Amino acid sequence: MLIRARKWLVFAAVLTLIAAACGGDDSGDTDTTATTAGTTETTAGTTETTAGPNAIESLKVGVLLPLTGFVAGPGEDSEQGLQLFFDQFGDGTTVEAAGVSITFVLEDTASDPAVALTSATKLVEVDDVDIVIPGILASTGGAVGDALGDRTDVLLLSPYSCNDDFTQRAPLDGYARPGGWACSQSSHAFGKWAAEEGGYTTVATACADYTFGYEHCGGFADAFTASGGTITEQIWFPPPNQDFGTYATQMNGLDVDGIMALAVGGGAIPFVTAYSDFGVDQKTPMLAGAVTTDQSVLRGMDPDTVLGTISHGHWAEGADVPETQKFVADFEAATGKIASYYAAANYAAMQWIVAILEETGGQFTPDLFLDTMKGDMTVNTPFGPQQIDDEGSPILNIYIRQVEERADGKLWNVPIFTYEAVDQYWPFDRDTYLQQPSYTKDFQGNGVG
Amino acid sequence: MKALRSLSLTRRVQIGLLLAAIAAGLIAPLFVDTFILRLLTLALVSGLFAMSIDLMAGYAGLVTIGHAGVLGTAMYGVGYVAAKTDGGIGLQILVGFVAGMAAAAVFGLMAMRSTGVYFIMITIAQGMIIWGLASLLVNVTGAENGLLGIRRPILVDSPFRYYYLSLAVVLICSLLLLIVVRSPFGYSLKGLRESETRVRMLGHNSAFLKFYMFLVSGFFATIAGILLVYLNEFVSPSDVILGASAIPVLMAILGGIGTLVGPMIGAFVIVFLRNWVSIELERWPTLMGLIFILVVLFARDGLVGGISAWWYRRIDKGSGPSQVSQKPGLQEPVLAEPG
Repeated sequence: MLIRARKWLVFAAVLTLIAAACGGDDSGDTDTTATTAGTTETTAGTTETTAGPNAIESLKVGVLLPLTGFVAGPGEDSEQGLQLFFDQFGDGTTVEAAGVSITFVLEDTASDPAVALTSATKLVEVDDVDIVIPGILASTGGAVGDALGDRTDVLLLSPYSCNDDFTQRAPLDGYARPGGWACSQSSHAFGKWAAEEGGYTTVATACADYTFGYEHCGGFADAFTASGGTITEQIWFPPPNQDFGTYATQMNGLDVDGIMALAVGGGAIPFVTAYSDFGVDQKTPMLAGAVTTDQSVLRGMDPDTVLGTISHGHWAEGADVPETQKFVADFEAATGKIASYYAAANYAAMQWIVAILEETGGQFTPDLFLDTMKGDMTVNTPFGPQQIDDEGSPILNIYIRQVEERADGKLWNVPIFTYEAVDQYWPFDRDTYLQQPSYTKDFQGNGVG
Repeated sequence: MKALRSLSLTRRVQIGLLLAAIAAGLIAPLFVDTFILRLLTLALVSGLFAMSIDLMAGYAGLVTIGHAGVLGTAMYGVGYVAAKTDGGIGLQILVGFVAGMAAAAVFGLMAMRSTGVYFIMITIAQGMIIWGLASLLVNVTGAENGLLGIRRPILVDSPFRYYYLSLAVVLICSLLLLIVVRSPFGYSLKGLRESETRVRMLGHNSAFLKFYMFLVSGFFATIAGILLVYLNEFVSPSDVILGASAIPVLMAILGGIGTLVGPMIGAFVIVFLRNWVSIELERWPTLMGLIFILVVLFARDGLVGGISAWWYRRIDKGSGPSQVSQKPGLQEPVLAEPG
């Protein structure tokens, strides 16, 4: 009898937990469907449609983001940046632009390319989206790009995954990076800065062992060596790694002016902590990759470990650019957090979509969209002013940043040097650059290895 | 007809359900969209993989949490030829098959002299070795980015046709598995589960038995791997992580280990939970965990076991446990539960 009663108690407790789990979570609506065939609509103050041959009434954007998994932290920021755009310019689920109702559908990649593929299939086959944002990781971007790249009915716009060759040596049809970047774009500038302005002569790299790591750190190595520096050693670790004891020992044994470090997502905080705890920072300053001191992880770091660290990126939340400061203020009002690049990128991508629709007067075909984007357009995004080059990659500011303490004690990245209007090849000449192979583990620039 | 009439009620219902399931599988594509069709295909392939694990875990009582090493090696075999060489479909499948079977053989050699907890630990290590190789050998496996550019044979390129291909292969493999478990080899595996020493006393070489078991199970896991790599047209280390081995074991437990159909049912439940329920529910892993807790508490022999127990208690009271699927040795038969 007692056994049975206990079993029922457990059963009841389990049911309660199920109810709690099914109750959803605090990020609110994560799945919306299009409001089709706009009949009424109070437009959020944009122009009327010219009834052109390609005029559309609704546009659906399928957004793939890692809501779970080792890059779930950045994923949350990205979701909030997206939501902020829809809250500011629309009613939270729909934005009107040039007579077009823009909505979004959000799917989880679980930080895993195989899951991203299934989710991408769902977006395209079931939700019938017009545009797909293929996740944050380069691996998910690569897998989704490979699966959807041949399709002419879906555009791939990537504000995050930055695989260089998708706009360089192996360009994908129907792909562009509004609000985004090429993985090696900012680190090219960083390498040049380190050699010319920073005064570094010998540097080692310690980077995550996957495409993003190869391209981001390869870009640095290539530009650094081209500007006269030397790369003495390259350390690689698995992207999800969180235990950096052995790597810290290795780094302590190096004799260099600086270590260019790239740890991503859940690995960033442990890396920076280990760098400090093991005393590597006493010996060698860190030259951090764009996402290693990005606000999304910076806000969780102990100031003693990271204050004063130099990094680079196309996003600097402390930049004295009006659009940046406005976005930072708005995002902080909405979420209580200082905006990271992940939050800004989705927002910028949506700004681009709206700007292009306004430019075409509400007309949309994939080709028209891309041609307009690559035309003479400048969008003032939270990153600063952006243009898109002929291959679909952005031309934007690159900031050399330093971690400082804000007046209220929070940490943020403030630019100490700015390169303006940098494209995906700078400082190299495009044709010469395209002669060399893509950055891989074996090729990290002509001056390396 | 006399033979049919002589079958018990239970047997007739079992055959009826099986035929109904196959019929449903045959006409399903006409009623669902391509996304659900993809999930059905994925469920079939995952079910085949779970059945291959069940052959070892359920019938021989040897739980393996590293079988994705075999599946993954087959996938990488196909993927490497497809992505990095000019090899055609024939060569891709051949290399995938040989690679998968080679992995199964190596795993078998490593584990054939262990039992119980040590066996489980060795299989975990096996899976980890493959994951380590997949993550490090960037020129062979593409490391974290995986291998891109794998394409299905043109004849079965559409989701429709690929589904039917998978259904056909899975049905044939299920039939083969049925033959295996009812063969003398199958019975000696069950003997391993009951008592390895007794099996040895009867003159069998239990180590060789386990080695062959790895080969047979590996055969089906390899086929599942080949089907999976062409379904996704992609392979990456996430296909060989611990979860990729552990979740199919959970599929088998959920459905009912030691039954042939249990793992397939478990696979359908979990695949749809992961990919379909997750659309509405962000905390689906919590739901999955809670379902497992409920199964362990109230239906220890999985869904199949639970339904069978209910059936024998309420409907077909005449037939005894001889009709009920074999359960792993450590558990008591359901009908004898106190309470």
